[in-house]
Amino acid sequence: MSELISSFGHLMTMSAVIYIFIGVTAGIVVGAIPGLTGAMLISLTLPLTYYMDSGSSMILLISMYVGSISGSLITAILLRIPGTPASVITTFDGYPMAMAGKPGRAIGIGIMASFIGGLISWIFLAFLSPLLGKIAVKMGPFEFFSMVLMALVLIASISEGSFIKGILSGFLGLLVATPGIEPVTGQPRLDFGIADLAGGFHLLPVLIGIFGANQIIRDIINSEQKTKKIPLKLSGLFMSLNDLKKQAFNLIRSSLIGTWIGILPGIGANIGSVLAYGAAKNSSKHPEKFGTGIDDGIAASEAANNATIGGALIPLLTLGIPGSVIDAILLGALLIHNVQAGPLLFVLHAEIAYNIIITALIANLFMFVIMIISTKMIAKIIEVPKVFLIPVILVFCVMGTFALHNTMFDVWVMLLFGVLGFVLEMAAIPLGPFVIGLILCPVAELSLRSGLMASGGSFAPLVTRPVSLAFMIIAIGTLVWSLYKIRLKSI
Amino acid sequence: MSLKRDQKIDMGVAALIIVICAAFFQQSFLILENDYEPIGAAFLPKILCIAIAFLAALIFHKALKNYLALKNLPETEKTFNTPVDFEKKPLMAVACALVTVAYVGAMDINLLDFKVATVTFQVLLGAILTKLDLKRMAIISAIAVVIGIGGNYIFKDIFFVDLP
Repeated sequence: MSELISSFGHLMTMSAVIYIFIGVTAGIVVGAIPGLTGAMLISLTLPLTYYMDSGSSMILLISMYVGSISGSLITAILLRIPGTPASVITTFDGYPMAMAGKPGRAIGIGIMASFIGGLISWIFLAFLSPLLGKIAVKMGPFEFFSMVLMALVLIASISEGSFIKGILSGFLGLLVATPGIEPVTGQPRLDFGIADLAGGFHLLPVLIGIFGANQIIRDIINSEQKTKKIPLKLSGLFMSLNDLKKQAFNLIRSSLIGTWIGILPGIGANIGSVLAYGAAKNSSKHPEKFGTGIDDGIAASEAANNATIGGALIPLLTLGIPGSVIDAILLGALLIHNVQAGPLLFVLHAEIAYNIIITALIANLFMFVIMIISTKMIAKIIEVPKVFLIPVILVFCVMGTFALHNTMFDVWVMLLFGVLGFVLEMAAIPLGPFVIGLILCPVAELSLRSGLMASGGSFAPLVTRPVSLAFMIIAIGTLVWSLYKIRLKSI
Repeated sequence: MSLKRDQKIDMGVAALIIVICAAFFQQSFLILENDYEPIGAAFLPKILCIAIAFLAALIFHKALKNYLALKNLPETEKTFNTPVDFEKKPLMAVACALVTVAYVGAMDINLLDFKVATVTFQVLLGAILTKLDLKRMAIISAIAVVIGIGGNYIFKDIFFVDLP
């Protein structure tokens, strides 16, 4: 508790407040613009944070994370186009409510639900993380390896598209991480005789390519997409106490669902909102009204997707396992600043861990205020034609990638992975498992090889050590269940 | 997008992935092993290549089976994603990609410096995206000059990054 209060004090400085304000605002604007995602914004900002200290960079990036998840509700409600996948479900009731002449009310419910979802998941983040951190230091190499395996299988099973494609994507990510200096003996491997590849594919160019360049390709292909605009009247923006009382149970339930989904490694905000919406509909006295523009639908979706933020930060900070794709990028950001997320984070870099936790809270507060004040302005920004944004974003992709190591090889890698990401998505191969595999491969390989050296080559500790056995059971159980579902579908 | 086209895409991507795995697998034989480790540095790449190739082969097989089943049916217009009411522009994306490659290539071989290359790139890209709409191109050109000169200043003089 004292560390939390102390971190709160550290964050009440002008520079920290400015970073939070800039991060949340940029996140909201980018999240609101269809075709731009929080993952893209954060991966493009990574090169800039190279010149900042690790604490300030995490403050900025976490704030962008919070802003982008929340900002997407604006276009979801006004244009029926979710700014990010997290708000797909919000369109079900948000857009009909806006069409019925109540866009302000729809946005107001979304903003309040986002705020409450973020707040409830923050409570779990603040009090569960240090506890889990203490348990995680007792984990050994076999536990880490089985945990990575579990994370890959889980995200593959939940990803859109087929399970086999999800697993393939995860393995591809692992494979792409293998070229370069191998983690045990330090010898270069799989460099194909290319001197620049001796250090492997750097993380940043791959992330910018996968999320930035890939998205730009899509935006160019879909550049003719027209949007129907709804005139924005902001009456009813604030939820009354009566509305809050009516939605209290729905908000708390959805927040808990979102937090739990966020904690599960590899699963993201869009899944949280799907499950929360489903739960709200199934427990409603009037399920037939869902999809026609009712408060419950918007509240459930937005509370859950913001709650996943706090939940997803828990495995990131305590175990070094990203809870979602954006968390995988944040893990990369920590690595760039030579900070290893995981059990030792609360021991070696406790101030960074607590800064991240407090930033999630303050960013949530800023998000609420900024969105209430600037919704009308943001609604105007999203009218900026994409043709003006695309060249600028591409230039930032190139500049940002080059800036890290001053080598054009990274830029070529970025373009290559942009095309690869696009090709994979065309074949409905999800990118979430790819990114998770890419980031976690060094941890997985080092854990497995050092564990086997310690056990004299025996794989038995994977199943004889209780925590490792638990992770293996979840991984195998998920694998079997997913294969069973495939079998059922084919019958 | 029709189902037949989906199967062709699946087959093409699966084949590409198998080729990539074959290349990685061949390279993994060049990795030096040691005798103090139960599994060496080549274990993980080899296992991954085999697993990925197997999964890609499964996807290829399924796509081929579906394609052959659909071959004799009339072309259906069932879409892979939700139906769209606008025209997609894949050729525009290819043109933009070529311009981007030219932009990066020009800087890589020191043909153009960052400022000139960036302004030229954005104007060319703007011309393609706006289909030579002069009014929009004027705005894009103005933005291009700001980004080209401003970006050069920010990276060189503030971040001390040597741009091409």
